[in-house]
Amino acid sequence: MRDSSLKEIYKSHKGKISDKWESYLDIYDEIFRDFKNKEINLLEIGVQNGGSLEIWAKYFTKAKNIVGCDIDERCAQLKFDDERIKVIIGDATSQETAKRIREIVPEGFHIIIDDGSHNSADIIRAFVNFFPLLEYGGIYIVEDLHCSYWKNFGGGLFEYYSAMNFFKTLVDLINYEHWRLSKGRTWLLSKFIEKFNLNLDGVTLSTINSIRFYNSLCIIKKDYPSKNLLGLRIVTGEKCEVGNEEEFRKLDRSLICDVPAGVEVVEELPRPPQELIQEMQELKSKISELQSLNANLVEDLSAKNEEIRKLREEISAKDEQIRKLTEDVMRLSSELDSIKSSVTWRTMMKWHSFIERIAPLGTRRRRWYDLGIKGLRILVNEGFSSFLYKFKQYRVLRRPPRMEQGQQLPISAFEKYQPDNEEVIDTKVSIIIPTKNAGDDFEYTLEKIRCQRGIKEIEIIIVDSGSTDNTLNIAEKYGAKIFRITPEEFSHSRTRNFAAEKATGEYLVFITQDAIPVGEYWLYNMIKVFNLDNKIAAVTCRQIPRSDADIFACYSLWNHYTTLGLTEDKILEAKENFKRLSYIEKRSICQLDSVCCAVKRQIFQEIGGFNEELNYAEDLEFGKRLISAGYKIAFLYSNAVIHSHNRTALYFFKRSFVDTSALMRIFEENKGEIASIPKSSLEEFLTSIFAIYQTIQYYKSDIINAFSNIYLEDLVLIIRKNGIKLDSSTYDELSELLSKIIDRLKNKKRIRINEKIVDLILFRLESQLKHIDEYIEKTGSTITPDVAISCMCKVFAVIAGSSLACLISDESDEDSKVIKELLGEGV
Amino acid sequence: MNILYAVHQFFPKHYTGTERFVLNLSRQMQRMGHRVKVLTYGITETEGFTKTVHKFLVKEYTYQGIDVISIRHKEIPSDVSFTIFDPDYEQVLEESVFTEEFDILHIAHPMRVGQVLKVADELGIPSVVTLTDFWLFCPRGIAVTSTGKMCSDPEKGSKCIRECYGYGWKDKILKRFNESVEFLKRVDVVVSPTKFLAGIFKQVYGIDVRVIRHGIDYTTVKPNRRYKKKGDTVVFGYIGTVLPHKGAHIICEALKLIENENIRVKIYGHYFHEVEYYRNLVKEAQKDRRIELLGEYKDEELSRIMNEVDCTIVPSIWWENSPLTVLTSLAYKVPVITINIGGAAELVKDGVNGFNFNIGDPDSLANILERIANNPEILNRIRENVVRPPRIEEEAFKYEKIYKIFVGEKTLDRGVGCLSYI
Repeated sequence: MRDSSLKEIYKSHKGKISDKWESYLDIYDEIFRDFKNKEINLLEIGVQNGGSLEIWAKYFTKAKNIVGCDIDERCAQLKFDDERIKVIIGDATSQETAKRIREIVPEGFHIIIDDGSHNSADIIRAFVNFFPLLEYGGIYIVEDLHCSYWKNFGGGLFEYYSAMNFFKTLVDLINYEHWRLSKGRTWLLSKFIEKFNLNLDGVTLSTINSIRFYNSLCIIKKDYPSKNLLGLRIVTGEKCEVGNEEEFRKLDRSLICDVPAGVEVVEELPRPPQELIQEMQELKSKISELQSLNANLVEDLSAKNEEIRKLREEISAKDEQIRKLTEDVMRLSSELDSIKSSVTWRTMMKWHSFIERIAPLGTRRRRWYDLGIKGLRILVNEGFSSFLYKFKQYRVLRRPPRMEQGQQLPISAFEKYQPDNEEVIDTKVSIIIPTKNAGDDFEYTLEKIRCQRGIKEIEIIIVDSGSTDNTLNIAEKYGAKIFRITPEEFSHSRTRNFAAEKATGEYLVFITQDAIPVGEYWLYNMIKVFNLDNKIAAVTCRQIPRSDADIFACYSLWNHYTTLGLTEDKILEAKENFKRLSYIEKRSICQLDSVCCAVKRQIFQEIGGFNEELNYAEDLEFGKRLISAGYKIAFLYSNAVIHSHNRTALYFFKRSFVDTSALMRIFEENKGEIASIPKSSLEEFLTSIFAIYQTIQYYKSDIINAFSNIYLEDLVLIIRKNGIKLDSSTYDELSELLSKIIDRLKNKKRIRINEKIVDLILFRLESQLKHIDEYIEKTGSTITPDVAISCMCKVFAVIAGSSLACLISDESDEDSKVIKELLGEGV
Repeated sequence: MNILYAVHQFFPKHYTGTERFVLNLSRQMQRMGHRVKVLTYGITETEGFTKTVHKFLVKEYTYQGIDVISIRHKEIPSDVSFTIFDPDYEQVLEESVFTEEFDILHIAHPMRVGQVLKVADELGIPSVVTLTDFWLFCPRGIAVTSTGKMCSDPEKGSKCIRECYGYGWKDKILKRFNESVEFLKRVDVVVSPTKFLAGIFKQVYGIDVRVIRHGIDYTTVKPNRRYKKKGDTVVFGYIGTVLPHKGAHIICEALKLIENENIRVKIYGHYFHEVEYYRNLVKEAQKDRRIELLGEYKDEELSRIMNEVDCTIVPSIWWENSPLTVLTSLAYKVPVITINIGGAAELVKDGVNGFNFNIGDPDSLANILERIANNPEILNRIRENVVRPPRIEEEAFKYEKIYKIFVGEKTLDRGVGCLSYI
């Protein structure tokens, strides 16, 4: 009995609905014939109602698995009588779906039919996803490829990325061995791979055996790569009447690669037509733009030509004018000659010499005469009203002004600008100033203190440690209580404690000899804050730079307040466990500044005053004790003293050393956050920083030349690029100090530069200079190359000083002692 | 903060008091971490303009580290220094100035740049104005009528029509006065460097005016320590521009009334366009060997000059507002002899830090000069009494405090009500 054809089975099908084109059924009958009675596995992408799956089951009676795959979850509900039919719900373009299908049918499929979305991108992706699941000898069928000519399915006749074009390109892959290009198979598909992000490899592509196209159908057969080659040339037969028999015999059993052929060099794929079209359109629009520009230029050119023509005309007109004026001059000269010889002229001359005689120049009489003539001229030429106005104008500048009858100056209104009912705080404040040769502005500071308003009583306490200028005379003039100590007795903490003992005020205000209070309510504003909260034990205020401050001084103040987050008034207190806070948090809330701070005397005594073991950062340590004891510190950004210094790199080196040493002692638990440095010996460290500093000196002129168009931060690059160069010709005071320290080291071994230290210091230098760049950018400041160098040296000095402190602050060997002593001098 | 300063003219071509105030303030603000720009009108500028916007020319330059944008009409209208608001100016401001974002506008003199206030106001930028003369209600700027009377109230413009401009100007004057009212309404804070000027504006406009004294740059100031004994020659100095309304001639007239030979008067300063006035002054000086006319001086010479004189004379014949010469003299601890009215009298108290004489009265000045010449040692006591004027740092800090009200910075003193105590 004859087996029923697919067409017959299809047409007589009564089960679930299926929808295929008639021509497919005839083609399928032909190509499925070899598979019909075999134990095959079939996969169909696109299930819909599942009719075709039932039909495949009827046709392939011996098939083992008929698998349908669809993204529509409703398909999961479909029930099939035939157990061989299975439905997988999933996106056919996803690798995860392919993986699941492979798990169900691990041996692979013999027939795969894509009847899915018919969208070109989906078809291509599904092919790449499922073609590897096909058994050798199996076929991959893509249905309904007419959609690939339609735009709404991602296609088009000339659409490069259509499914049809993809499969057409595969045809060339079958003939890969004849390309004679040094390119892999995937190269030809690289635009598709890039566009659809395909996971395609040359091995998979080498398994494409044949591709057949029918109307709307494409059938790709997979087979072993060896079967897809052209193979050997076989020459058969015995008679050779045309051509050379020997030549034919030579070709027998040869391979295609033995046939000589030119090698073509192709580096790039031809570009898709739509890209070319788009580029062409862009070029067209550019051409039209250029054409219109050209038209404008032509227009401008003709306008300019017109202008030139006019100018030429003007020149000839001017020439004509000159000619006429020359004629006039000649005519007038002759007229003048005749006037001079006239009777009227001679009479006028006589009149003038008469006036000269009776009213010579410079006399009051002459002034009146001139004024009269001038007035007469105005009267005749400009009229009476102009004469009157100018007369009034003249009078106002010559005559002393006068008050109108009964006119009152608004003096009474002035008084309103004194604060109404000015409050006077009924307290006594002791202002404590340690002095030694206090400088030109000291008197101004005292003047400002004397001008303070709103405080009932102010006493000034001066503790002088050996002034040799007129500091004490000035202090005496302003009624200060003066105490003298020897220079050896001075220490920042001890001297202030001594002054506090002598003070009798309810509040102690510590300021430095060079800090100038701002305004007449500076003191009042600080003392008033104590009333806000009885836990406030101290008030400290902002420092603003002097008008002669250099950019580094301005930056330092700005950086200090922004880093500590103190850019507005704040009441500082430890809200949580103080010990757990970071260094910066602690530093910020302990902010007490002996440049200007007020403390309640009673609490000052209760807490024990400044720590006399410390000679630096004693203010901060006192602040820390206040906060630890549960008190609060008020910081006033809205109240200020003028205070800044333009210091040298040497000073910053020393200052940074002593400050960091003190800070590491005060905030011992946060030591690691304050400064860190790679492990190295002292001589190695000092040699390294000396080398960096001398390198900066060495490149000074390069830096000055480069500076005009780069940032400060980039100056470090010059050093990084060219490496360490020791300049022995330029020694400044910091170089001398560093070399002096190195010379005095007792414990000297082999001195060498430590690369790690150099790198770290340069890195820190770079980031600090970057911060200065930000400040310069923010304020729109401009700096000269000299200032840039000076900034670089100062920043270096700060970094080197703090790093050195980090290295030796805990050490007590002889070398460390010598350094501590040397760096403690003069700060 | 990003601050825009506006001033009617600026360095390097113009360098009198108001321009110096803007330069000092903007440089100090920059030192205090702010970004600043100066907008000005290039009234005498003819070169360097790089851009044309509508009817205007624009140029940008940097002066002592400060960015300046100078704008002027291509053809300067005759009433440019009379008008308060010029709507034509709006487009150029929007396209050349307000392309940058500013937190505050500070007008140091509204002449020729008044429109900037309207544009800033519409953009929601708060504004501060510092009164530096009487220009807002007196187009002549000095509040002296053309009949020579001191004027402290324009009577809403009617007095200007009556006494200075005539009825032909009625509409213009009344419109201008209304614009001045609008100007002061739009501005958020009005500041005066003297209580005197604040009082006049309070009287004319009924507005609140804060007082912040002008600051002096003390960078090169070395206080004068000349000690006088009986019989010493006293050197008086006149330092400033030699223009008729500054009254240098009053000194010459006063000297004619004194026979004392222990007096020297050194007159420093430029006379600008007042050639005839200066020529007369030269003639007077030639007649009296006690007078020396020393001409123009440079900034760098000021310290030397201030240390060569025992006392300065500021004999203006109009009521000065906050005369820079008085402030500078006091900064050098040099006593000042000045008129008995206006801003100068506010800064100098008779017998305390100087002497006052009746304005425009050579007799009254002669009395003082003679008294000092006969007893030069009184200057020692007066010098000790001199309280020096604020520094520019202090002035800038007080302005910063005002700006900060608008950028919403937290201050503890607002709670205790002492913000007015700046």
